[in-house]
Amino acid sequence: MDLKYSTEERLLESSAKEFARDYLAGHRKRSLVAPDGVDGESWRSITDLGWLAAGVPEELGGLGGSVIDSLLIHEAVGWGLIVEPVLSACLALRVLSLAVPKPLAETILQPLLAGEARWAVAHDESAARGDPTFVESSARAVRDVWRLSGHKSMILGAPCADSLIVSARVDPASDGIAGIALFRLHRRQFSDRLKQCRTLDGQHAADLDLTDLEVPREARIGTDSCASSALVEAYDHAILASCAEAVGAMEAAIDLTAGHLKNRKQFGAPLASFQALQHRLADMVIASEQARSILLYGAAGIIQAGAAGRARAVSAAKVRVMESAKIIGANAIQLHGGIGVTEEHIISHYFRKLCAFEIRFGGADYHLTRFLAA
Amino acid sequence: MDFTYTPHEIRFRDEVREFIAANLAPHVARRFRRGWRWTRDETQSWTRTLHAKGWSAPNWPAEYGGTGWSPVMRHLFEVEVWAAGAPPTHNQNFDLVGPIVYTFGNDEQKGRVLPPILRGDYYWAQGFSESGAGSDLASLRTSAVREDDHYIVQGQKIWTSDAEVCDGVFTLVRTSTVGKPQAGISFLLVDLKSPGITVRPIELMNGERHLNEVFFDKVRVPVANLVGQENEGWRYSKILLVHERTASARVPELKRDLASLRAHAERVPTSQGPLINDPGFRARLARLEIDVGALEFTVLRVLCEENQAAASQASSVLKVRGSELLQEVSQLATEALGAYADVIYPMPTDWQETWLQQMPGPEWASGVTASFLQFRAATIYGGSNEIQRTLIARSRLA
Repeated sequence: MDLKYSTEERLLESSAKEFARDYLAGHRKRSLVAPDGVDGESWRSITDLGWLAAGVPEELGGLGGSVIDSLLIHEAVGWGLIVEPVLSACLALRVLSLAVPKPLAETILQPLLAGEARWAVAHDESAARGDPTFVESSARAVRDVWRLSGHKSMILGAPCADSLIVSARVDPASDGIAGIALFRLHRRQFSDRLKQCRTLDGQHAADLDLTDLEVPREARIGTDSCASSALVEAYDHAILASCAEAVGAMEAAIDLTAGHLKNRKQFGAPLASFQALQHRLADMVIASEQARSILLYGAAGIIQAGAAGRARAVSAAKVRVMESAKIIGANAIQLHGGIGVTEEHIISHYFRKLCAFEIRFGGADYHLTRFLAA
Repeated sequence: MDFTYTPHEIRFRDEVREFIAANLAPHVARRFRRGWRWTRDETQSWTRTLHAKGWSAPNWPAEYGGTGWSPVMRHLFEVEVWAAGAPPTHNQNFDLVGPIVYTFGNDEQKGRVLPPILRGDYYWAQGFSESGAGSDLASLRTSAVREDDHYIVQGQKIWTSDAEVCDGVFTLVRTSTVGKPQAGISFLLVDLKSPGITVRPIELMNGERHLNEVFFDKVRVPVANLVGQENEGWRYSKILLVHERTASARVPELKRDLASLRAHAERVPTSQGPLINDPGFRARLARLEIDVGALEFTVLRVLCEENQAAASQASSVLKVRGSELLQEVSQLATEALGAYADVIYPMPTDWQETWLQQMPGPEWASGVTASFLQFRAATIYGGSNEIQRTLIARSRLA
């Protein structure tokens, strides 16, 4: 066992940080006003840097990177408050790599990895509350088509997607992880069925109404046996990646807060000289160190354990990082004072990033239960 | 980054397990796992067993009798000995005075002090705190005045752990009042059998008496017992913090206590079945298991960290989290015990534990409340958590 970053990992970390620093200083403004949240130039840089390919196996045209590589990339996404749907794209890539058999997968993935097409996963439903095995949407074979029905909720990256991967139950008698299949929807099939919105961290998302949507037989992708386990595994990776984004945002929030305490003067002295404020900052540092550590605990679970151990480790990470996010988010605003609640100050963007992280992929109750059950 | 234990590390862990299974007395393990504090006899005999194997000082450099193990092996070793219920070796010897002497002492002192520690023959107590010098340790007043080849020590120390069973005390004493308070402090070794020393145990709220007041009345201490240079003691003692940095997280102990708590909760009856099935209890236990998992990975990160400055900054984080979690885990254990957490169980002295059959409550009850009460001190000693938070903030605001 050796928990030091390798030279390659350090290089990846610094190149990712460098991009995020430039992005934050410049391009982010363009992304925030782009109609679908994607600035073309930034998206090209993101694909050129290999952020999307990192988690895809080499035999499918990816870089075959480790979980650690993916965590370093997503830390930079959080640190740089990147608006483009990196996490959503990585989730789609992983679902496709795991669920679609090889020659077809390579064909489908190629344009995604090249940044020429964008896919998103339309899987969540509002009643699932984080449980990736909960699917009420259904697909019935009628004549030579699949007739879908149901409602998908808060699909990150849907407004800018060329294709959606929709999960639906093909066996109405099934429950939980079994009996779920995946369908590919082209933009023309879903574009008028989206209800679009902005999310707390500036991303674009949408709900999707599937009522009586008919798609051809060949819209079904992947094999029966793969779809459900692919979704659960890909979600575990995405949850841990979201934790890494939160850890990146925490680091930035702490640096900003420390800087504010040093610069701002009240009662004729820097805020940094007041012990009540120092101890709040210390609590933020302690919380971020625990979050960083549990990320590695989660990564170790993904690398070493089977599905149950992976679920346990990832849920542990989500619970602990959420707790740290609350401590850091709340104290970052409090220590900035009034300026902290303004849109103008970047600390409020970090606060919203941490809030969005907590809301997504299930709350503490769900993940504590899953941790205990695994 | 590599999370897998190497075959060498796995073989090592197995060897440690086998060694413990073959050598640790079951009655010692049973009593210690209940949460009772160890006695000198218990730790001494275990230290001698380890020493016979060459394992009594895993954290020391090999040239002074350490094992030469990697940081990860040392962590594995600690986790195994705690899980098995072995009493810890005397912390003041191995983590405090030993490292000071091999780092700053002269050859004569190394030869005199280190071998008896390794063998478990000689026990040192730490005499730092005074009633007027707690968190503000540098304000200490116990004085040592040079008179020919002796120092005359006058004053009093407090919270001196285990002094009632120790052979010597390593002290910080004032040798100068010139300049800053930190600049006039020296590190002095004192034989507790010296004329003029009185040790008075302090009865604690859990019934234990392992903390003491130590009074020095014109105690003559040979100048040969001064470690390093006069007036440099403050600097030396700060080194201790770094040496102790991962021990203060208490991860092996927390893992053991959580495992015991989980096992007990499976046997505690409630109207809804075993306590472990209660959703509220389960959620709190799960949170603690997750927090201890995060802390263990923090320890492993620090152990693998090559940047010493970064590693020593982490020591405050480890101390704060470790002590808070000791309190939370022991709190949950008293809640799991229910009404019997209210019982004052006498500290067991009888290996057969026949006395337990005369007391109400389940067999695992004794020691639970005693350790809960004892851990209220964990956020105070070793540099209070407020001091640690100030240090953490200072390093971020520098």
